[in-house]
Amino acid sequence: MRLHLISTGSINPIDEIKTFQSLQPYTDQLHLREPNLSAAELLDLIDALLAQGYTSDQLTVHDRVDVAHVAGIGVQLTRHSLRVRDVRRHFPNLVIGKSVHSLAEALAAEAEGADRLLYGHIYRTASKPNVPPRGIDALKQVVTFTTKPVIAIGGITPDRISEIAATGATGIAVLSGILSQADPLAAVHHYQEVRV
Amino acid sequence: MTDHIIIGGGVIGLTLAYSLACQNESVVVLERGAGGQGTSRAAAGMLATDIELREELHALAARSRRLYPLLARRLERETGIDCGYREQPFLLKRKEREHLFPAVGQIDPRRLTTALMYALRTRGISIEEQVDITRIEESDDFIRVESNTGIWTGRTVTIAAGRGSQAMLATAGISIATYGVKGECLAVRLAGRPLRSILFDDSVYLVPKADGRILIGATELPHDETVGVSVAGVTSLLHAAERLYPPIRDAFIEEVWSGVRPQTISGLPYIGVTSSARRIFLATGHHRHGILLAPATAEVLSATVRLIQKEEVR
Repeated sequence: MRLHLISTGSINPIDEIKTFQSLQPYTDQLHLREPNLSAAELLDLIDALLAQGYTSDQLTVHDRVDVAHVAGIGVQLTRHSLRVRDVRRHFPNLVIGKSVHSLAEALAAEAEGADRLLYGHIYRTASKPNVPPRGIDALKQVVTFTTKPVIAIGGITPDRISEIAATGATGIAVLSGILSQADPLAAVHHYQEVRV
Repeated sequence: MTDHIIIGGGVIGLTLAYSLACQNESVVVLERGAGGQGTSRAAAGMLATDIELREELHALAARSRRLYPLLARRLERETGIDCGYREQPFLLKRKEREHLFPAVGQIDPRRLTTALMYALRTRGISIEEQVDITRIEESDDFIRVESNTGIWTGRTVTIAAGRGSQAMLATAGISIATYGVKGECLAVRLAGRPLRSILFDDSVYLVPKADGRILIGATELPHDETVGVSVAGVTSLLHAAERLYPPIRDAFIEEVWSGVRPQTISGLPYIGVTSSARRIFLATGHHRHGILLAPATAEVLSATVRLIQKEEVR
C-alpha cells in the first residue's frame, strides 16, 4: 500500500521541516494542502523539502497549478480548482491528481486526463463531521470501474488498512492520523507495521 | 566508506553527485583535472532539438529539457549563480528547408558546472581534483578505487569520465568502445545588433548566450584528440558563420577553444549497469549531447545506484 501524507493546512515551515524530513523514507507522496500560504511561501517550502531528501515525484501541491509547474512537482485538483481538462491541455507533462467523491466524478476525472484519484472520505472523520462517509463498498466500486490508481482517504487508521487493501486501492492518504499526532514518526510506524 | 564514488567531475558526474546529495546520500567526486574544465567547458549548451538526436534518445532528451529549468532554478536559489537558462527561437536551415522552433532551451555550461560544484561543496560533498585513477576493483562488499593520490572505498562507483572512462573500466575487466571526436569553437561579441535566435545549419551554429557572447561552433574531427585550435578549423567555422549570418563579420573574437567529445561505436551513450560488475555503473559516451542529457542521466542513475543500497540495508 502506498502511503500519502496530507499536510494539516497550518504548516509552520520553519518548525516542521524536520518532522517532514524524518517522515520522508516512509512517505510515498506528501501533499501540501496549505491554502493559507502564498505561492512564494509554498515554493520556499517545496525547495526546502527537495533540499532535505524529498524527490520531486514525491511531492504534490494542492490546487496551485502555477506552483506545481514552477517547482516541477505534481498537483492535486479539488472541487474548487481548475478543471482537469484545462490543466491537462496546458501542461501535458504535469502529474495531476484529482479529489473525487463519487464514481461519476472518478470516471469524469479519468476521462479528462487525471493521473491519480483521491477518493473519500471512506470512514467517519473529524475533518468532515457533517458528511456521511462513503464506505468501503463504494471504494471498491470506484477501484473496479476506473483504471487509474485510487488512493483512499478519510478516517483510515492502521487497523483498517487490510480492509482498504482488499478493495484493490493503490494506497491510503492520512492527515490527522499522522501529522496531527504528537509524535508523527511513531504514528507513521504504526501504519508501516501493517504489512499487506 | 562513502556510499557512492563518482569518477569524472564534468557535467554528468556533477549532476549525478548533486542528485544523490539532494537525497542525503554520501558522495565523493574524483576528477582527473579540475571540475567542469574538460569537455563540459567546451560545450555550447544548446538543449538540442530532436532533429539532431537519434530516436532512441528522444524520451531521455525530453525528460532533460523538462528538468533543466527546475535544476537551474534550484541551483540559483542554493548558490546565487544564474546558470543562464533561457529559451529562445531556433532557426534550423537544412538544404532547401528551414524550420523555426519557437522556443529551444539553452544553458551556460560553465556557470552550470560552477554552480553544481559550489552547491556540492556547500553540502559538504568533496570534489577531489588532480586525481588519476589507476585501478578499480570490485569485491563482494564494496568497491575499491586506487589513484595516484589515494584509495577510496564505496558501495558503488559510477564512471562518468568521458573519453577517460574506457581505460579506467579496462582495469576492472570491463570493455566499452569509445573514441574521441574533437570539436573547436569560438566566442565572439557583436555590438549593436543583438542576435535573438539560435541559428543552425549543416556546417555551423550560432548561439547567443546570456552574457552577450555569441558562440560559433563546432568542428567535428573523429579520432582526433589533440589539444588546441587549428587555423583550418577557425577559418571554416567563420566562413560558414558569415554565410549563415552576414553581420557576424563585424564581431570581435573573444576566445577560441577545443574539446574532445566521447563518442561510442554504436552512437548511443552508456548509461546504467554493467553485465559483469554489480557495483560499477556507467555514464559516458554522450558525444555532443552531454549537457542536454545530464539531468535525465543523473535521474536514472541516481535511482539505479541507490537500489544496491536499499538491497543491502535490508
